Amino acid sequence: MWRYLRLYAYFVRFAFSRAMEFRADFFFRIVMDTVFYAVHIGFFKLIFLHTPSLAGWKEAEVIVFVSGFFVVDALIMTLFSNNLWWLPQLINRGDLDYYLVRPVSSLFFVSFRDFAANSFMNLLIACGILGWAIWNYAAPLSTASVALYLVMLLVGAMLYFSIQMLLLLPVFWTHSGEGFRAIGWQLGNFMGQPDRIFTGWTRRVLVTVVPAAVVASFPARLLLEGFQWSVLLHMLGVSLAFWILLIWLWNRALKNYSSASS
Amino acid sequence: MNRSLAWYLFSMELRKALSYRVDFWVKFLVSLGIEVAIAWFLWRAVFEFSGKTEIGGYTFVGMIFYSIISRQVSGILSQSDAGNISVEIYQGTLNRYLIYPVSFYLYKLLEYVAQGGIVLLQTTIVYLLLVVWLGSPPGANLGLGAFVAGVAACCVAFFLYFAIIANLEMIAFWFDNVWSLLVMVRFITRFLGGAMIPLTFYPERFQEVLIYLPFPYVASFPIRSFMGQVNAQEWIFSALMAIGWGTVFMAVSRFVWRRGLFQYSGVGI
Repeated sequence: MWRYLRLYAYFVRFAFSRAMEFRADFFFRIVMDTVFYAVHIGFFKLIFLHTPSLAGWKEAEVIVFVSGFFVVDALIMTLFSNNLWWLPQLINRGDLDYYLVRPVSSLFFVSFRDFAANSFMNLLIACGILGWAIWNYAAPLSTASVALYLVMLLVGAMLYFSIQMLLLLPVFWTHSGEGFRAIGWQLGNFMGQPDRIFTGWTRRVLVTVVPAAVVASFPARLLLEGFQWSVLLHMLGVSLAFWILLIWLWNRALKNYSSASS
Repeated sequence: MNRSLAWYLFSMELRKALSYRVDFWVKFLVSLGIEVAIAWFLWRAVFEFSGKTEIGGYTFVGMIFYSIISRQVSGILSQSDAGNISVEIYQGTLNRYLIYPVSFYLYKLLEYVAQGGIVLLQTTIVYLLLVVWLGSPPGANLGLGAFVAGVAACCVAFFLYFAIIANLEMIAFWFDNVWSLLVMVRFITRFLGGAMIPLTFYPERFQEVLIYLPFPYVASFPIRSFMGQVNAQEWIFSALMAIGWGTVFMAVSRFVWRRGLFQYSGVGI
């Protein structure tokens, strides 16, 4: 465990020194994500000009939910997005070889190798927005519920990463990841909506088979509607199931990997 | 540039797009399915919880139609970023355009139009399916006339969006990565242009300001044209605004291009 943490610390250090070499890009990305946050909040503010509530939540509650979604999104962008981006190329060019020969878990190495230092600044901004949203929330929120919320947002980010990875792994067989990658990013749109706007079979699928609607909504429900075992266990269960599935499929996929130009 | 070269470019882009057929169709169908599902559930919840049958001049069915046409128009405009001018600069492949006997701008615009044309073909299919599925929602006036007006509005929007993006792409002469700037402009255009939400949802004072900005003419104008909501007078005004803004951005980009070439080393980074 310590070995992995030390290794990750090296990844982070290397990422920051590399990001500092491209300062304009570093700055542009911060501005880009700030615009993304403003647009998303603006979108819901416009909707609330025409409706008093959305899927059982008032405007202040939706703003807390959206802020949580920003934190999850920033976590994914910081920890995983670059790694997800490069994975199909690593497979197709045979560059995955270099990852497989390292004396660490190949899944760990592929998933965490590239830390996005410029997105880390956006993670701080997203946390700031979340802090502001919680501060302005009218009803009192206990420290314990806020702490649980933050932990569940982290679980949500890991869950979303595992969904994205599962959508990318078919590249081992199909050799082109563009379509699957597009699906993965499209699923992010489900994550940014309150889960209760979905009903019927769509909802059942979105909270179990492709649990994108769980990622940011379930933590917000735990915070805003009080602690519920069913919500907590559902989210933890789905996350664990997806991690097990990811590890299993990763090992299967590696058996199909034929190295250079596969 | 002669017609055969233009056709060659179009067919080349089509072959490139279809070289991974599974990807191409998976991307199109699944993206469409996901976006329709989100629009459907989101707007159903908004209409249900507001207790209204019409918001900002749109019924629920009208909003679904608007959302689907909006994703198609956004797809037409932003399928590639002005022919990836910045990539050519970074890789040093701009050199070839400097010695080709063709206008660099025209070449890139044609490349961009060709890629957009492929999405336009998909849009035609989607439009027909929508008309069959949803009929003509209240407040819309669908038909061949509206479709032709929509395609024409897309052509004007093409020119304007290309001119805006070309400016940003050419910042690559000075900075090492412009991707985030392009994405940022896409966010702003989608929000202030009416692609995310119709402009009638904005407070009135805001709408009065927005019509003088370029953004509505790359999103709201083609979408509403497809829906048959733009009369002849408004169409001409919008087209002139788009061409006017496009000419301004194009003039700026010509200036940036000339200045940028002094920075260009030709070896890539």
